[in-house]
Amino acid sequence: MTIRPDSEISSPIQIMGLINRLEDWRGNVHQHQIKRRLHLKAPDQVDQQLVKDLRSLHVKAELDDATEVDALIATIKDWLKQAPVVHLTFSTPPARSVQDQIIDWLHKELDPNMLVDFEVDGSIAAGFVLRTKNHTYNFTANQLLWQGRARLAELVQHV
Amino acid sequence: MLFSLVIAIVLAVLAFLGWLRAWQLGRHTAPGPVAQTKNTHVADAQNLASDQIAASIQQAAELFQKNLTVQALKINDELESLAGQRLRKQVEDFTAVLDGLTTTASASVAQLESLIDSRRKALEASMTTEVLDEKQRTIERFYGRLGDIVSSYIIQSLGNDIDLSGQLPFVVKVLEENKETIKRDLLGDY
Repeated sequence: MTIRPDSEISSPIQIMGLINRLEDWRGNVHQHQIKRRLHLKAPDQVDQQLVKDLRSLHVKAELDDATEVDALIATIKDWLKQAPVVHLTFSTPPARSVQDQIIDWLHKELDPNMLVDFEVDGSIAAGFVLRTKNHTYNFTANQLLWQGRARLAELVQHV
Repeated sequence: MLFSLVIAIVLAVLAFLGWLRAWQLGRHTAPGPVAQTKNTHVADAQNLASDQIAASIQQAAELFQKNLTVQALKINDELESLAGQRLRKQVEDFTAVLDGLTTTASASVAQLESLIDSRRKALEASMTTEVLDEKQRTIERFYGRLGDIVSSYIIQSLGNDIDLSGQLPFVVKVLEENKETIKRDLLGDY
């Protein structure tokens, strides 16, 4: 099974939410199988958000099959452990369209399995911070101005 | 004192005149036997007169010398007294003038000091105001230029890509510039 996230579901939190929903559904599937065996009640409707998230991950699975759901959960968990994650911090929440384009660029240029977590930090005047597992890349205006502070001091001396 | 001096001089003059008359009488008389004896008496009289005149002159001279010494001493004392008085008077006058000058000078100096002090205060107040005004103008010029410099510096440092209303171009540009670095970092993670 190949998992390939798109911009609709690309953050680790969303994936963990998906796993939680799958696990909830997994309990429903078990009950549904019992009910079906006993001919007690019609099967429950599948959570539409769950369906949508799985579609965003380009995953096709038989959700009525508890075994297959279990396998799917295990697969997604394994994939989540291995998928590269970047955290992007902005001064204000980026618009959805901006998020989508950034995610598309990351998937296209860096890694198609890339998970992206958008964060907000009001102390950032402009620009953004990109954080990976091991490094932090500061592309904020604060940092750029700080890097050029020697030039600023030189300019101020001529005032 | 002067009177005594005059008397002594008069006596000396009279003695001299008596001796001179006697000398003239003796010279015009013709000598003879009788005259010889007479001449002898005249000569004795002349000698006696001469001796008396010499003695008188000697006495007058001594008296004159004595009086002169006394008078000289008195004159000297008077002169010294007079000189001392005049000197004291001059010193007193000088002291009075000096006191007046000192008083006047002190008053002038005090007045001058007061004038200088008031002038200094006025200058200081004026300078303080001018310095404050100049300082304020300098600060305003500094901040004016500082604003231009900071704006210029921000544009130079950040470029024109950072626009708070549209972050995407800047984000994409930075990601493109650092793509390989981030890629190596991510690949190293998994």
